[in-house]
Amino acid sequence: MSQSVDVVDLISTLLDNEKYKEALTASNEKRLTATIKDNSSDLISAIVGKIEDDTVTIKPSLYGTCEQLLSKVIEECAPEEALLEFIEQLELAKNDAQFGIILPPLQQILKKLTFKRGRSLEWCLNSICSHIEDIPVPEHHLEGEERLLMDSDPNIRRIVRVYSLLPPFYRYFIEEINQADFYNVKTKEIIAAFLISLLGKPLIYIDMDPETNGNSEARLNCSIIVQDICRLEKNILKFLVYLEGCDRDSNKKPAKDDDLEEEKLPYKYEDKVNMTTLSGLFYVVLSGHFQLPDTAIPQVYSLEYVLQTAMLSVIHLLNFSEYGMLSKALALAEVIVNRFPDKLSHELLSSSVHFRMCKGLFTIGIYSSYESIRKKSVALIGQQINKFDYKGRCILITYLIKTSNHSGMIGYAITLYKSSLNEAFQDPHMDDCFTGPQFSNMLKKICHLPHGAESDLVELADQIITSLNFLRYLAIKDTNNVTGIWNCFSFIENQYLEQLRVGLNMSKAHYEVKLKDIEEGKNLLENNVNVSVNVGGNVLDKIPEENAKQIIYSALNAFHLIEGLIGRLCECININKMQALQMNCE
Amino acid sequence: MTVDEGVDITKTGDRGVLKRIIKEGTGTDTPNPGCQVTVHYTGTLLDGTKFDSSRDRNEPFEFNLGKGSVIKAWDIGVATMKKGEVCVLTCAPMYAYGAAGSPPKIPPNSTLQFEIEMIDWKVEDLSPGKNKGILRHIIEQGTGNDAPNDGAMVTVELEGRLQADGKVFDTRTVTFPLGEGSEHKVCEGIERALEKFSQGEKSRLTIQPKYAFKSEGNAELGVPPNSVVEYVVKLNSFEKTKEVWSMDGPEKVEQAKMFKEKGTNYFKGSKFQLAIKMYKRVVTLVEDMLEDTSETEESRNQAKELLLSAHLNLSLVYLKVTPAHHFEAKEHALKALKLDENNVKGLFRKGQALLGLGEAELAIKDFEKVVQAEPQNKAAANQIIVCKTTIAKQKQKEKQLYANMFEKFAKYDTEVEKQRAKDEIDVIGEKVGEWGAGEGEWTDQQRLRKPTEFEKENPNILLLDKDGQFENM
Repeated sequence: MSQSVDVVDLISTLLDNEKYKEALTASNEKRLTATIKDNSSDLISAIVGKIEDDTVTIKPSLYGTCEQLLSKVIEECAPEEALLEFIEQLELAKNDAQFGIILPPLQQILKKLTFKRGRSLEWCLNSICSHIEDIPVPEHHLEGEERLLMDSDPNIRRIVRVYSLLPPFYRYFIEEINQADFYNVKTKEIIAAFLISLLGKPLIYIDMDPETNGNSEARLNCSIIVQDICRLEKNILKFLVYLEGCDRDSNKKPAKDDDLEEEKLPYKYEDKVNMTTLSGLFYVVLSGHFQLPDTAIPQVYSLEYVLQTAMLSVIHLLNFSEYGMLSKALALAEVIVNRFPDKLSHELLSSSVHFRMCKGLFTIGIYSSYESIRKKSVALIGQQINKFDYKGRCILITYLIKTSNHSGMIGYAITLYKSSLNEAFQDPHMDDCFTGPQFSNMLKKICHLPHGAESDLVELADQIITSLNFLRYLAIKDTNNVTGIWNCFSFIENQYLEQLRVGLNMSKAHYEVKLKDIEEGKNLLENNVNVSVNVGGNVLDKIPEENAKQIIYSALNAFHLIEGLIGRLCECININKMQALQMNCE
Repeated sequence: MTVDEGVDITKTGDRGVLKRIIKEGTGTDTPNPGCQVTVHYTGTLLDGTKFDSSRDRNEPFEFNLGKGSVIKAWDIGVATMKKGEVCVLTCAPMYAYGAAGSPPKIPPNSTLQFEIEMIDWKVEDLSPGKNKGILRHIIEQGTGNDAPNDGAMVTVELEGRLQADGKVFDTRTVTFPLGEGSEHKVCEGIERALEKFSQGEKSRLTIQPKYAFKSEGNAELGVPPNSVVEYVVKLNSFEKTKEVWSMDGPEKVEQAKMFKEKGTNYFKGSKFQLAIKMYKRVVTLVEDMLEDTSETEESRNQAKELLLSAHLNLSLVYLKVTPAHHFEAKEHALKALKLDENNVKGLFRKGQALLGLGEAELAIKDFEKVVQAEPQNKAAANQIIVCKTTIAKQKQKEKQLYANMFEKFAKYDTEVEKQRAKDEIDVIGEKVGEWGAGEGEWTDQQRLRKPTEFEKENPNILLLDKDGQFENM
């Protein structure tokens, strides 16, 4: 026993004293071979423990010695034992250098275990995954070209480096499968599942868009991984089925399948193949940002099937708030929308994915903290809606108006409706969607004040202004009453405009008083109650007087604008009425 | 080889898919929809350019037949193939990638030719481990591409028999939420399969004991332990995952009925929050239909009825929850009454809600209306009594309150008066002067007191020095 402690201590001390040659000679000594075998675990742990992140640069010879010692140890010892120790070390690895020095000997051992490898490869891959997942992902709130700075973030550097260590490790096993006549399907799927999991966190957070960051190393890593997946699974679109399955399961209460755990197939391991990792995969496969092998995408799948299923990825990624996820979601969404042929039938909307994507887009369009993302998202909503036939567009526009709950977004929806209507005017026969009851129903949704005259006009200003513009457009354009707008004038005048006028008078009076209060310094006296507003832990500053004034001015401005629009609209309506009268007289 | 060669196999006979057999297959069987089909294929454009082949991947191509996952021509064509058959399908653009094509390999408006070899097919296996635990054989295809989600209400026709002797043990039509089948003696295998069913689909399911009645069997149904069972299942209707926006009137009404039923079940099971959720769904589904003149009279009437009962039920549930939400109950009763102003239930619930809100006097009017409409309605009559006693109690309470109030006010006033009197500076304090405690002496406290403004201005009243300070007496 005393002898056995010696060998670990001996080598450890020799390494500490920078006596590398002696350490190597000691390991080669015949009399120690047996003890090395007996103490392989401790020895591995001792050697790996010597490695720090900067060892390669500061003490290259120590690094080299450790590498040699490790390969010596695995020559001598029982592979099973060393395997367990290496897996343990992978999990415990304090730094990426330790992680890196473990991989080559680990591969050697797995090679040795060809016939009785069993689940050990899977365990190794799991440990690799858990090391990678622990790397934090930075979020610096940068946009535009500044995002290139992200590539110098230490954690991003770490991710890139660790990812680049992986292909030399796993490729051997892919070759093994591709060269064998008969291979274990499960092994293939285990490796493929591992590779898919690599496309999720943390890689998915990193920019890889060829237009903005074509030279990023992460892009290169990603490209290698996908190529390798394609070498395992020749038809990359077969994963669409799993994407569908994951989406279904995510709406489901879990726990049902506990007893079935053991018979799960590798592609059903949720920690590897899940919505996020598959979304990463389909971003890479379909966005056109990456080169794929020529045969990877079979040309027999129906377009709707591929696109609608891939939309699930977009929907999933839009749930995040990080730039990396969102920019990928939008890139993929753009490709999907553009791939759909024009004038899509509204019948496709029986699948809820279109609504879910629209919802994801408008949520991001309203709330994302990145301006470029918001703008792109809003533009995509328009593109998505305009891909459909008129009926489909109207359905989606109704959806937007009813669910977005944001005046600006509703205003945008009204604009989309107006431009579709304008398009329909070019057709020889006006589509049913824009005439009769369907039109008047839409009009009521557009000219809607949720609380009548007491609605908050400042909040609704966007919607009101666009709706008034829309009405004026129609009053001028539709002189022949194709849409049936004339029959709605009484509703517009007696209800909508009337409520608006009353509302305007009240709001104007209210804001003018407020303005006066500020000017006379009244609200300083009145509001001596100390109130602070706290949002998500951040105390909001009190609005300074100058800004408060600005807000009031902009509100008053909006009111004047609305008034002006009402005036012009009434003018148009009256002209219309006169014409109608004249026609009647004639 | 010309484009027109082959037999037209489209339903409409528009020559969109032409089939020419190169090698006959064996047997007479062709795959059913839903089957997992394995084929080898090579696709070429009309000019002979190969755009894709499974042989280049060195791996046959697998897909689920009849599910819309491949181009239309394939779903039609492959379904006609026998095992071992090799044929050429010529597919017009509208049965393939249409006017847009599939860039970069397939140009716009391309007619495609596929040489397909049918290798084999498997009955669709719906078990999670793909261990043949649940096999589906579609008898009649359903419509649409929607399938019920977990938790969705489904109505199915079942016919279960034992595979061993063909004895029928279960024949019924049952409605239940997916995932709660066990409470309705519907086995797991059926539930799992239903998640893949479309509207109106009828299929035969072969289910291993693991997903059926396991090693215990089911004595009640007469299923022995460890039995493989066969079910013929038809999905009559289900709660759609489809969005409200893309449904037409009758569909909305159908869905609303389903939610109403679901809500009522939850209500009966005292799951009030869930019941509220369901009834609210009914409201969102049909709310818009009443004014929608593009809908038929019939569905609008149905919508109105559903909306009315949804509001009535919501009002009821809000009264039942603890603590009762009287305000919400009142709001929904009001909405119901807007649709039908003399609705007895509506009036009654509004009355109850008002009573709960402490508005007994308003409540009594509603109950009186109920009695007017239904003189036999005892509950309302009782409520009127309750209201009256409440009002009487309230009055009594008010009386006391006001009585006390005036007393209290009076008391308070006198106190205030006293306090004020006390606070006033007593120039001739009781401790000063001939009645003072110190017999004409200033106490130290009094001496140190700062003179008031009044005293400073009138130094003669007290003896102050020229600075206005008290003289030492």
